[in-house]
Amino acid sequence: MSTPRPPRLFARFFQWYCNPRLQEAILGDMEEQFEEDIETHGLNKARRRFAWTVIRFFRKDIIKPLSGTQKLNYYGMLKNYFITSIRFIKREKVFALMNISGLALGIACAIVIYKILDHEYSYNKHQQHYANLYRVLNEDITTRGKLLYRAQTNPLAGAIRSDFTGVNATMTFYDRDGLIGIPDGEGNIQRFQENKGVVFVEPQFLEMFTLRFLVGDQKSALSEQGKVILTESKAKKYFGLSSFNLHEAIGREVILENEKTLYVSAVVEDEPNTSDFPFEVIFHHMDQDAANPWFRNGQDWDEYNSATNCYVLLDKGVNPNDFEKQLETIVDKYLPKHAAENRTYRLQPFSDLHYSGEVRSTYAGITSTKNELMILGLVGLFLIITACINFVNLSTAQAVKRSKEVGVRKTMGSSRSQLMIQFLCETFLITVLATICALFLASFLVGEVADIFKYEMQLDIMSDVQIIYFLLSLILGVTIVAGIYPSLILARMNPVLAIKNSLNVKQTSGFLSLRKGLVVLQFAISQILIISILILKAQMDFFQTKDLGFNDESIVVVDLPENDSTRLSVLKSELLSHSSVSKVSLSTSGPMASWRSTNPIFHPNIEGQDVSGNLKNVDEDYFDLYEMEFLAGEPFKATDPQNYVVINRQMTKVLGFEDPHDALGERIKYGRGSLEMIVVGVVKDFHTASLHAEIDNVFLANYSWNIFQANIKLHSSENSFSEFKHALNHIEESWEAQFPEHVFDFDFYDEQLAAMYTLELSVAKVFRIFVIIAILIGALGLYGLVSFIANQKTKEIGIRKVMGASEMAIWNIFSKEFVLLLTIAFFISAPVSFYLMNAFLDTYAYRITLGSKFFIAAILLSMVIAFLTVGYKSLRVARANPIDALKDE
Amino acid sequence: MGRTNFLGEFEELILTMVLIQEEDAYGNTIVKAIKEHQNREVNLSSVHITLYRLEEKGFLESYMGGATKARGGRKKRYFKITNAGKVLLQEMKDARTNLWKLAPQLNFSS
Repeated sequence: MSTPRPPRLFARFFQWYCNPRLQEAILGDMEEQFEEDIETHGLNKARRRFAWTVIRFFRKDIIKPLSGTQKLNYYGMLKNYFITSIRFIKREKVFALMNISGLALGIACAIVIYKILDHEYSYNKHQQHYANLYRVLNEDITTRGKLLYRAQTNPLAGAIRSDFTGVNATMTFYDRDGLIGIPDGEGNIQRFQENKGVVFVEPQFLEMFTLRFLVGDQKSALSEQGKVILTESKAKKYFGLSSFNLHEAIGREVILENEKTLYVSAVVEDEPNTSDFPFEVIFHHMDQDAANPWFRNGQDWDEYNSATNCYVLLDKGVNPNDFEKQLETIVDKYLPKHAAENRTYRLQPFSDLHYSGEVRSTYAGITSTKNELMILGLVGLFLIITACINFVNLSTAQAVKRSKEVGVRKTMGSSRSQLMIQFLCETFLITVLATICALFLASFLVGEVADIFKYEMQLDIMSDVQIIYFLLSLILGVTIVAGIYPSLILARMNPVLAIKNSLNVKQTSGFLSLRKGLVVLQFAISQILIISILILKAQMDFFQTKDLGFNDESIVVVDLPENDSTRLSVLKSELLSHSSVSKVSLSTSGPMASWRSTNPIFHPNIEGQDVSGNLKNVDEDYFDLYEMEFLAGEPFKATDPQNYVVINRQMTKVLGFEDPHDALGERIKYGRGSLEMIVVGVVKDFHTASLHAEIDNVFLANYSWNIFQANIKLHSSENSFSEFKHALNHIEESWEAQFPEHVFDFDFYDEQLAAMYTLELSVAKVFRIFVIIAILIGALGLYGLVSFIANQKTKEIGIRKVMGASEMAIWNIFSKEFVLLLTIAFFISAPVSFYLMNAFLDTYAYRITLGSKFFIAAILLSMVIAFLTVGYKSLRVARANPIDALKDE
Repeated sequence: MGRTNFLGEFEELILTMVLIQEEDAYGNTIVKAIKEHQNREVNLSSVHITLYRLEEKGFLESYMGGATKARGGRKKRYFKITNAGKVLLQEMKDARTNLWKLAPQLNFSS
């Protein structure tokens, strides 16, 4: 028995479905092929092919025809099941409507969440070498622990290429404000300020990353300096081309930063929107000196830039862990001593790139952690589960009504399994109907979510095979989860009792307690969601309203493309000449900025410590314009020496000065160069970055370099729209007079600050949709439970009313119970949400404290919802004529 | 009867293969012959299904035979082309030749 046999499972499956007339020959052929495959391809391949062939044979001509009982029973019975199901749905319209809408809400959420997850998990998957691509990260050991970051030095990729075999490497530099000029052939230049998509790469990039060339080819596209690759949409935008004449872009001139003229060498397809490399204008690495003043021919092993990253592609056989260790030789051989001591290179696989919690940034600027995605998935699962719980509750509530049908079926000889199949069919039908409704709702919601998250996403079940599989498995799963318990209950009924319609509480109380448990669970879930959204909302408000330590109102900010001091002073006085402008200051950035320049600082009080400072160069009007409060000293004057500096309170604390006045006159060395500054003032702490981060040690100095932004304060009192428009025109004209070769753009500073929380606001918006749906489902479920109890207690209530009970008293019977259930749920949800939200808020440096108000609000809200649903149903019962309830007896 | 007299491309290929193989035509040999003559990978299932369809249309007939130790000791189903099948193939070939005669002379050199 040493000869290997074909996989038994598949062979038996084949024997089971195959027409006996054909079986012998086909099976023989398959076995013969299997034996030959072992010889030529090996056992594994042979087994796979055998299995595949068995699956391929599963076709109409081969499958044995139905015979005997197979033909008779099932079809007829199934048809009957569906007919009774449809009749039941028609008869119990309210019940069916509630069931369908509850399920539809849950399923719609599941579809939306599936789409979001599908989108998030498809990032970078279009890369052909996805599995073997890595980003090179630095891991430095500092006094504050290990620091992992992506900023790289330019010569790294070249060194890797020359020192190792079996690996390809490239540097990429992403330019966030590229100025692209397109000459029109008649001496005019049309300029585009591109704040995304402009990138500089080494030619190796084209071998490693997947670009689809529409015109031109991979080999020559970046073979030398002076060439540029455009995406289809950029080529159309720059040259006014259409899809049919893209080739006309080849050889056209592109002017970079008004400095370099380059020629289009290729046009590629646009990157999919699930790419962390949204490259649109791709230049040669060596051309970046025009855009990156720190480039210096790419030879500097000391210049780090977070926009300069290094990617490697390992050959198939190369083990990434081994290669990571070998990179140690690069550290020893090339890095300057002060960097080499603490440095380890780490490889970050592409499968981590979009989801890494440690180094979240990518060029696309959007990342998500696996945790966040898992939470989203859990929310989806919760919603589906609550929807199923609803279904169980509602269906078992209806079970009593169907007892006669079950009784008759059982007496006529229906078996328990047949009854179960019948009710599962019914569930299936309802689930399918719910899914159809859900698709309408979901396609609307997907559009909303896509808007909020700026995804390009839509629900298209016609062309998306995966979503069809997902829907099918969802329908199947929901049918089983929601249907199995009610069908068991129904099938279990005693036929005699069922027909007599005397199913008493005793027989049903067993599942009543389970149903109560389910309702508690449902309440708990919706309460957790309510508490979370309230806290999220409060944190968002906190972001908007927190005192930042400066005034950001009525301030327009404009970028300054050049650092020419005469032009800048002309611009400043020009701007001030307008009546609507109250103050102007030129500076590195606003007080709060996403970009900053930090360097180590040195002072006798912090000897040997690793402290760094954030340097902003500002002019003397800055403090007044942003209304900063001085704790000691005063602002420098325009005539003061350039090394006079104002620091913040935080810095004085780090330096160990209890009284800010003590810091005045101190000398602080900044950076490894020769900058030494003298403290002339201390300002109250103000926020330097979004509230995610701690306040930096700030230096506000008088230097004339690194001046990138004009801050323009307008008179806020008399701000009519036309005046404002007039002022803005004036700003634009004065700016363009100084920088005719650049593209004007402006921002309101407070809006710029608000944009730092776009992600949180988007998440909160999407989360709110799910919370509302969860509450709706919960309310439906509650209604189901009340209906059930009302059915149970019809007679009791009738008797009570006859004996003189008031409507209020009857209403009380119901409410008491739900208050209890709600309270139990609250004791589950409060600690869970407290723990979860506390952990969430800890990711912000400045956060709200979790007061009891959120929890009180949540329980009050769920009480109100419960009373509304319970109240409606119980009042109807209480108002019913007791005769109707008692006449059956 | 128009439908039975029409053969798809794959059906014609299989029918021709049975004709070529004479006495030794069954599922596996046909798969191999297609690989050999046409350099085309086909799945055993498509070949079998086509064979049965052709048998149903009356262009092939089959008989069982040739049990060997290999293939789990199972018999083979051999196929043979019927006269109707031969006639059909001939007709199809003639029809095509006639069509080619109507085509303008191909000149690949330009």
